[in-house]
Formats: sequence, C-alpha cells, structure tokens
Amino acid sequence: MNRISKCLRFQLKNMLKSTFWFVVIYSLVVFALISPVLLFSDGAAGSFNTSLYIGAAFFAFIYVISDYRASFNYLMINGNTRRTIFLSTTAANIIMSIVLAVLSFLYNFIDEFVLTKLSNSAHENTSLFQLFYPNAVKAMELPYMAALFILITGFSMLYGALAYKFGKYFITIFWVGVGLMFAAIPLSSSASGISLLTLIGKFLWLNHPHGMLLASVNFLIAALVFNAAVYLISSRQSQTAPVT
Amino acid sequence: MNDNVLLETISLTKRYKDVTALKDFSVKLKSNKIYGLLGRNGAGKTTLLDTVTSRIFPDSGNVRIFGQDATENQQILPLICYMPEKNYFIPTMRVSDILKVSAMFYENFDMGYADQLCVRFGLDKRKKYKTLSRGYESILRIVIGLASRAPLTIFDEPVLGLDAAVRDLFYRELLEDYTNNPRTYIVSTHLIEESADVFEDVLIIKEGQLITQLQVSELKEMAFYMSGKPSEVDAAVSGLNVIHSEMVGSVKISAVFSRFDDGMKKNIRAHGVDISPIPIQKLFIYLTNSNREGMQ
Amino acid sequence: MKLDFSNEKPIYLQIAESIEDDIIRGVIEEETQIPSTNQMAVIYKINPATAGKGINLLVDRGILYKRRGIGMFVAGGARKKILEERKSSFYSNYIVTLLDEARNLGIGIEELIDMIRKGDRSDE
Repeated sequence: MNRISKCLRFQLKNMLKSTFWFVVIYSLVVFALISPVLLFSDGAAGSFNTSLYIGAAFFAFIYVISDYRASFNYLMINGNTRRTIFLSTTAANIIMSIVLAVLSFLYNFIDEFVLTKLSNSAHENTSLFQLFYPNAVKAMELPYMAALFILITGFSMLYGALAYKFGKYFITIFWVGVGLMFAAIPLSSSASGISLLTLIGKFLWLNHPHGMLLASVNFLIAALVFNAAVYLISSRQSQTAPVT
Repeated sequence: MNDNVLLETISLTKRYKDVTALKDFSVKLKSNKIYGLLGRNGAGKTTLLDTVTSRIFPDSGNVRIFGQDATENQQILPLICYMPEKNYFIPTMRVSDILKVSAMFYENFDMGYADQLCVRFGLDKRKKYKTLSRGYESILRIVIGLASRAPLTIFDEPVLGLDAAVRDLFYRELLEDYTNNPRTYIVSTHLIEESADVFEDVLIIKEGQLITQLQVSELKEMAFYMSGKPSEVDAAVSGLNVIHSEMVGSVKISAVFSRFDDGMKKNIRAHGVDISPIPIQKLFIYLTNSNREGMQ
Repeated sequence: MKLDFSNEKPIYLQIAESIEDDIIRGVIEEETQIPSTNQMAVIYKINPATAGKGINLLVDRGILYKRRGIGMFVAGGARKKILEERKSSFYSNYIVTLLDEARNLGIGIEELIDMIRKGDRSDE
C-alpha cells in the first residue's frame, strides 16, 4: 500500500498540474471567444454553455494515453512492480475523473452566473442532459460525468497498454478502425433496425427516466472490463525502450 | 545454509526469436562485493541484468534475491537500484526533481551525498533531463546509483560517453563509498583494463553462458603467454588450458589460462620458454572468442 | 608506493612487497600503523579485498599484526625477518637469473666475477 501511495503521489502531481493548465487555458480560450459576444449582444442570448465537460473528456482521453508509456517506464525503473503501477494508475485515473467532473459541475454555476448577468433575470440553462434524459436531475450530473470520465480514462489506459505492447501496429489499426466505424454509421442506420447509434443510445440509457443512474452503472462496468484487460496485458509486459 | 548468498540465478534461459540470449545461466553472488560483469556486445549482459531486476521475464529458471523469488516482488525491488544503459527518465523533469523522486522510492537514498556528487561531477541540478548531454545522462545515473545506497546496486555501462578524468572520478567515488558504506555492486562494462582492479570478482559471460567467475587477482595469476621454439612451447603447455596460439616468425606464442605455481613456472623457464603475463584486455578477448578463432 | 597495473605481478603481491620495501628502508617503523585496506583502496583505486589479500599475506608471515579495533601494525623484528627472507630468495631471484643470462650471452664464470668486482669498485 505504501508503495502504491508513493507512485500515486508522483502520478497525481503530474496529473493535477496538467489538469490545472488545461482548465486555465480552456477558460482563457472560452472567455476570450465569448467576451465579444457578451459585450456586444444585449442580453438576447438564450443560453450559455461553456461545456467544460466536453473539453475535459478530450483532455482525459489524450492525457492518459500520452502519459502511459513514460510513467510506466519511469515507475518501473524506480523499483515498482507492474501490479503496483497498475493499481496506482487506476487510482490516479479515478481521482482525476472525479476532479474533472467536479470542475465541470462547478463551471455550470459560472455559466448560470454569466447567463443571469446577460439576461438580467434568473434563467436556468438547458443542459445537454435535459435534452437526452427526461427528469434529468442536476445533482445526477456529477456522478454521471465522473463515471463517464472513469470510463474514458480506463479506455485510454487500455489504449496506452496496447500501444506499449504492439507499438505502431496497434496505433495504425486502431485509428483505421475508428475511421471505418465513423464511415459505417450512416451506412448502418439505413440497413437493419439496429444501428451503431441505436446501440450507443441503449448503452447510454437515453430517454429513460432513470437513464442517468443506469448509464453511470454501465460506464463503471465497462471501465472495470477495460481495467481488467489492462491488468492482464501489463502484468506480463517486458520493459521496452522509451520512444525517443 | 546460504547465509551469504545475496543473489542467485538458477538456469535462466531467455530466447528472442532465433537468438538465445541467456542459456541455462546459473550464478551465485555474495553480499558486499563489487562484481564486474564482462562480456562482448550481445553476449547477454543486459538481458541478464534486465531479467534479474524483473524488467523482462525469463523463459525458464528462477531468480532469488535476499532469499526470496525476485520476480515482480514488491518487497525486493525497492532494495535494488538498477541504472540501465537506456534512459527511462521523463525528459521534462529537472535533475533536482528526478533526485527527489528517487529519494522517495529508495529508502536509503542520501540526498546530501547526491548533492555532493552533483558538485563533484559538475551536474547542474536545475537542468531539465532533455537538455543533458550524453555524458551528463551517464553522470545522473551514477549519482542516483551511488546515492541510493541500495543494498544491491547495478550499473549497466555506467561510464558511456565520459572522458578518462570523469571515469577515474567514478571509480574513486565508487570505491570510497563502498569502503565506508559496503553494499553489493554489479557493474557491467566493456572497459576492462581500467576497471578490473576496482572489482573483487568478475563474471565473464559469453553467448548467454557464464564461462568464468573468479577473483580478479586469481584471474591474473592464471593468464600467461608462453613463447619460444614451437616444440618447447608445445611441451610446456601440454595438459594446460590453451586459449590462443599464434606464430610470430618462427617463434610460437601460446596463451594459457590455468592454475600455476612458481615451481611450474621455473620449470618451464628452464626449458627456454619465456613466460609473460597476458594483459587482462587480451585475456578477455581470448576467453570470449568464438571457438573457431584462436584455439589450437 | 606505486602500483604498476601492467606488471606481471598481481596487485596484492605488489602491495605486500611495497610495504616490505618501506619497512626495510625504515620509511615505516616497527610498531607503527600502516594505512587500512579501505584507505589503500581509495588511494590506489583498487578493491579493498585486493589490498586485504596483500596485507593478509604479510600477517601470515608475521610481518604485520592486527590490533583489535585500531588497525594493522608492523610487528617487532619485522625488518630483520624480511631481510632474512629476501636474502634466502636472493639466490633464486637474482643469482639464478644472472647465471642464466650470462650463459645465454656466453659470459664465463671468471668474466662474470670480474664484472661483479668491477661494479663493486666503481661504487667506491
């Protein structure tokens, strides 16, 4: 446990530093873009959404992937077993997911604040959640996003582990596969009743009264599967040379 | 039983496609000695060190360190500081941060000593790893390895890219710290001539196998050139282990690697055969040559 | 003491001989302490075990002895002992070699004795 917490201390420091810079830069960019709109519109804006969620999702995805190889190698050279590194990375991912979810949730209040200022009246924001889920409760947004980020970071860790093991082969195949998948979406919807989008909709429990809760559970189960796969792959992984 | 055996490998075998990097490699190392690991490029030195420190998994065989199975053993790994030839540091980290992380993971790490070493070797702690030249990358590994005070400290080619003065400094620092704070060292190097006397024992690895494990002083007492008339030389070396032979004009020179006593030497000299020592660099070459070359 | 790493003689023997030389010349006096193996290791850049091997050789021959908790000391009567040992090996180390070389060069015994006398006189 002591060893895992040492690794965690190292990984969290990097993660939180990067998250901090992400939030700062994101905020600067967003408010830089929005300011002219704010200044020159006269409160006609109906809704205002900085949607840190989406940026955070991309950030989490990219961060875990780009961090995996270097951290794995560096922690190994400091006398840690693969098991220790796996547990510490998983814990760091979960913590980062929660932090990002909380930050995104807090951003909501900034949005509403700005909106109130713009329209000079108390105004509630229509969030994406309300579009997709009837009875969307604000309080559910936080655990939902946390679970979603845990899923994303779990997936990224799996990507990282496969890229470490198979290198360029995996990376090429993966992105070719993603490209094909996107191409397949319009094709499949005109085919049988079951399309890729329908499957995704089912996974997300869209338009279901308890959708957000059920989707969160789905996310966590999928994350568990991804993490288990990472454990199996990484536990027998030889240390390979770092990418120069 | 083995009260003093610190590290033991039992029939380690590792294959890469069609190359056998380690073949039934068995060795026992005692604690608080400086071991030299010598071998040609590709002989299996790095594979051995990687296997012993759990960086790669052997196809068969065991590694036992501090009396336990060492593979993926979180109890044991923190007691081993392995500074490999390859760089696994994170390029954007500063030297001072890298040292702090090492201090966190190695319980015996002495930061004061690390600072002193940085000064002695001229390593600027504020520099980011990616800005270090090759020589300073080696120096960083040396600093960490020495300051770690890990009971088993392993260096793989520690003096790469260092000039003679800095290499000299390394050997002196190594010996000084070793005499004040004994621990077990394994140093893998191809610079045999200058480092041999720093080692207590050497292990010579050839084509994945251990061919010799001896005290350096014993090694030197076993290696001699015998030169003279071919018939006399042949008579002198009969029954001895001849590792190399050549003709220089009409003089035959045979390199012998066997145990001697003074009496034997006197006898040989009396027959008009000259005996002179084989420089350790040459001895190493003869011992690690593939069998086609240089054997009678 | 200077070590010759390229010499035939193993380092530990060179150390032993070098200490003996110093004892004979009076550089190290009897009942004084000699440097520890650790000190020698650092000064000469050799493994302390090698230095220790040389020291042990001298301990076995009664030239040095160990004072517990302090270190290695030159034994009383060491100088005399070394001189005696060296005298007896003088014959095999020098005389035999001298005679061999003289034989190789075709120098006869009488000529050899003349050479020795000549060398002795030129020192006066």
